[in-house]
Amino acid sequence: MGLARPGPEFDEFVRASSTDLLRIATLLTRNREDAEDLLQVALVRTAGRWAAAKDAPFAYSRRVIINLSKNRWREKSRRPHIVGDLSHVASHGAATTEWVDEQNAMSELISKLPLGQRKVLVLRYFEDLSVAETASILHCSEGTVKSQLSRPIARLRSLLLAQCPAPAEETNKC
Amino acid sequence: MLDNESVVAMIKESFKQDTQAIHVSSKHSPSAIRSRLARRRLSRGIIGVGVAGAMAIAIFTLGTTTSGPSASFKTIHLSNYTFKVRSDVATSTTCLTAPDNWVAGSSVASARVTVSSFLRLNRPDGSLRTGANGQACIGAVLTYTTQVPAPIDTVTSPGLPTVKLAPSTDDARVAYIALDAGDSAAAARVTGGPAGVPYYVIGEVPSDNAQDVLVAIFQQGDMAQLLSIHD
Repeated sequence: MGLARPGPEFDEFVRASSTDLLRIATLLTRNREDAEDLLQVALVRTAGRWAAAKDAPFAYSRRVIINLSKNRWREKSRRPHIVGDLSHVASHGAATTEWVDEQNAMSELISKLPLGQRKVLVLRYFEDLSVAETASILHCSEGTVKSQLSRPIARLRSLLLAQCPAPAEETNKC
Repeated sequence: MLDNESVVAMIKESFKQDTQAIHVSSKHSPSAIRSRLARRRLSRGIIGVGVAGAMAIAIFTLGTTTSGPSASFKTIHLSNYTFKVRSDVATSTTCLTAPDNWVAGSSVASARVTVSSFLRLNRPDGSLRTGANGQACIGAVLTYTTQVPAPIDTVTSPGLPTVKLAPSTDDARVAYIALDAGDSAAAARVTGGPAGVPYYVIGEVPSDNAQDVLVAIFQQGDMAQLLSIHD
């Protein structure tokens, strides 16, 4: 059970990394409350396994979050439907109604992707991990990562195009 | 033109915007995490309730009764104290002797119990490991108190294994639960104690390593969390 008590370095890790970990959890769960719970469980597990995690605690916690997000989904027996709260972008300097609408639309589309694809997107495009690193975390091949990337991108592209009327039919937005 | 690169750029921007206002709350402070970790550890180990004026030490052990020398248990190290554990086959009791440097009223922190010779309760095939007499000994609770020990009861709870409390010469009392092969215990309620306050002996069998035994310290006012003993 790894009962060694984590030392001050654990406290420093929590203070330094919690926000980044919470953001990952939020992108995966699309629900702030679930993300908070997920983060706390991940941090508790990391503390409980500090001897094993101390060399790379962020990676360890991130892996816990990735793994547990699937369980969280199963527990709820449904896909999370809450779209990320974008109210905070209202003060964005360049924000316009269209810009906010676009961001909202993209956020909602991403939330509809299967969790597996969203994991890959988060690791690749939020964490900026390489394909190899992503594959390592997800315990899959690099080919699987690539396919898991291409599918949602293609899907999002098609959905975005579907939302945007063809130029011949309409002359705005996209 | 909406190409893949544009979609990726939009995904990144979406992630950025969705997370830029997210910051952790105080419930993720290091102290909060430590507190939660402590509670989780307690919930996974032996839970007991300290009785009035006493400090209770609940120790969950696994082992088997044997017909041979009392060698099933070795020593248990708690912080700066070493408890010697002996198994009396003749009376089917397991006793922990007080450490030489023990001071009444002292407290020890939760610590890993290192007992090298614990036998695993479960065999690889899942069956319950038993001693020569067909019984497995599971669980021990030790209470040190500065008060005069009260009479100790023997309690048989319906549907639960018999729990016996046996006084030792060290002003310590040990409860053990004898399980027949194949038994599983849910909980054992033990009555008695200096103030007649009931306390509970609850344990959770470590999943795969009998050396991962949790020791928890309970003082007056602590709450017990009921768990199942399962194999």
